[in-house]
Parts: sequence; C-alpha cells; structure tokens
Amino acid sequence: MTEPLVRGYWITGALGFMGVHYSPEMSERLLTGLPRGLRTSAAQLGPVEWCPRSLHVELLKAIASVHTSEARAYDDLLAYGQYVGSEAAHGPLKSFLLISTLKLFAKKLPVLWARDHQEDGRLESDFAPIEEARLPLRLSGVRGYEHVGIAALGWIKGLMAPFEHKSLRVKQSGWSLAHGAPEEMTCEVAWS
Amino acid sequence: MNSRLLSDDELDELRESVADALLVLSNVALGDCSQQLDVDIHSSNPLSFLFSSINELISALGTEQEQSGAFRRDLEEKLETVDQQRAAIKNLSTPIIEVWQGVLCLPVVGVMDTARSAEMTSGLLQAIVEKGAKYAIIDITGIDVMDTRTVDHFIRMAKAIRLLGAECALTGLNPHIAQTIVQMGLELSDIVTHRSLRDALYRYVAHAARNTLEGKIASV
Repeated sequence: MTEPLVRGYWITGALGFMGVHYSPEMSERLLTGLPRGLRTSAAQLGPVEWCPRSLHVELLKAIASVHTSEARAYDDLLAYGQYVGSEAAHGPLKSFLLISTLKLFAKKLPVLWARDHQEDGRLESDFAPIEEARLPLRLSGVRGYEHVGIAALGWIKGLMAPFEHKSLRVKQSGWSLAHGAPEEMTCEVAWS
Repeated sequence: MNSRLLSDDELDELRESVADALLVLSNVALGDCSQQLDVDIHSSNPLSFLFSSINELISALGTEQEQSGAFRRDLEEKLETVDQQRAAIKNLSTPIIEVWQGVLCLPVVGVMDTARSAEMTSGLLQAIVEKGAKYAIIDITGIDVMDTRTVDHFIRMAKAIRLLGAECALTGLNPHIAQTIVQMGLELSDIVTHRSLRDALYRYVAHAARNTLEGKIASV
C-alpha cells in the first residue's frame, strides 16, 4: 500500500504558522520537538511537492499539544488551517476564487482537497443548502490522520475569506482531542 | 463574451470550465506540470481549442522542466567534482613530508597569500604536534617572487613553530628573492636559512639521528 501524501505547502504553512502564531520560545520548543530531519527537509520543500502524510501528522500533533484544553487545541488547529487557506487564497488560488461563486466553490471543494492529498481521504460538500447560507461537509477515510479534520475546516474558512462574509461560523462533530483521528467527520460552515 | 447571450446554466458551465483551467494553471505556476485540462476533442466549443493549446503549453513546459532539472543535476554533479578537486589541490598545495624521524619538510610552490599561509601554518603546527617533530624545513625553491607580506607570513609561521619547541628553517631562496629582501630592508633574522634543501636536510637529519642515538644510549 502506498503511503498517503500531502502537498508541501501544508508542511511549510505549519512551520510558518508556528513562527507567527506562537511566542519565539514556544515556536522554538515546538520545532525542536519535531523529528530530526523534518525541519531540514521542510526547508527545501516546494509548495506542490508531495511529502509523506506522517510529516504533516507530526506538525498537527505539535500544534494540538500546545494546550491541554480541548477548546484551545481546537482553536489553534483551526487557526493553522485558516493560515494555510488564507495563504492559498491570496496566492495560487486567487484567480480561481475571484471568478468563483459560492456554489462553484462548494462544488470544487472536493477537487481542492484531492489535489492536495494523494491517496488520502475524501471531502464531500453538499451545496444544496447554499441559499440558506450554510455548507455541510463530510470528511471521510482519514483514520490515522490526526487532527486533519479541524485543520481542513480552518483551511476552508481561510479560502472563503475573499467572499467577504461578515460572520463565518464553523462547527464539527466526530473530532475530540482524545479521539483526534476518527474515520470520518461531519462539519458545517455557515455565514451571514 | 457577452453574458446576455448566455443562459444562467450556460454561464455557470462556462465559469466552471474557466475555474477548472485556473486550478490547473495555479499548479503549473507552482511548478507542477503533471495535470492536464479535460478537453472534448470533438467539441466545437472555442474553450476546447483554448484548453488544447493550454495542454500543449503545459506539456512543453513539463518537458523543459525535466530538461532543466537534468541540467541542474548535471551542474550540481560538476560543482561537486570541482569542490572535490579543489580540496585535492588544497591538500597537494601543502604536502607535509616526514623526511626523517622528527624532521618535517614542507615544499612550497606557487603564490602565497594569507589564506594559504594560514592553512600551511595550521597544517604544519598540527603535524609537529602529532609527529613530535623537532625540526621543520620550509622549502621555497618553487616560489619565484616574494613581497613583504609573503616574508611576513613565513616569519609568523616560524614564530609559531618555535612556540611549540621546534626549530624552523627556510631553504631554497633564489638570488632574486635574496636581493629583493635586502632591497626592501626586510628582517629575516628570526628565521634560520639554508642555501638549499639538501643543506638543511644534511644538518637536521644528522641532528635528529644524533638525538635518537643519544636517547638510545641513555636508555641502555
């Protein structure tokens, strides 16, 4: 069985997030706690290069480990995903988002997930309730991919920033700090 | 294209096609040329022709990328070889030979500069300590021209050697260098000089041999 892969910008994004979101001391502590070689290989990683999911899991676990409180770990994972999504929204996906409608964006979300994750998971979006200002999502096939569901939710939030909604709310079920890698998660993004 | 000529469904379809193209192009912009746009070759839709051309461009770019990758790897290999050769030349430029027990010889060829002088000094001092040498002969037969800075390098080298308790001699000064040193008023009194490497070897090898012999007699 081939190892699941993730695009390099998720890895470099995690390192960038640690640098800007945490104090220098905490950032250094997180970085030094990472497996040897991850930092050096990440420094040479291109944004669309494929790298093993296990590296991403190490970074997600590091971010989730900063706080013992589940709510704060959730916030950090969400903020990390939002950081990566926002970088993409202002970079490579800018033109796509400029011409997209919410419905088209929702329709293309599974494609966006699939192009970032090889042999790994499946994101489905139900764009029928778009008119009700909500987007239900389902992420499946991610057993062992710890905390990725919350990061993915943040990533979607970051990608939706160009749509300029006043309030963007997210909720999820299936994930907890103790049970960070469920087989599937259901989420919803709502806005006003 | 005027949107008034299109129905909402057609406009959505057009938007989606352009979005697909933009997604593929966003990956191409980041260096991933592995994806292609879906094209219906039987369609007369102008977008199909556009997408076909984009696919051709992506293919060409991918080929160029592979070639430039191969060139880069080739260049990196060559640079590595150059580095290895440079290291080999560096080692060859300061060959320290133990000509007799306790007698080291460093033949110097070419141009002396600060960096080379520092390397030589460091290598020679290390060898003196490692071999327990008492004498170090620096032979400059291979140096044609010497300026004040070069002389200064040798003086410093000799002082450093003396600090380790060894004796340093300079051999192989040619008449031209000797004249230059005198004309420039350079002070070489801190360094023992010999006319040739042969003279210095004769003296120091004899010294070293005598010391060894005396040591053996004393131990008996």
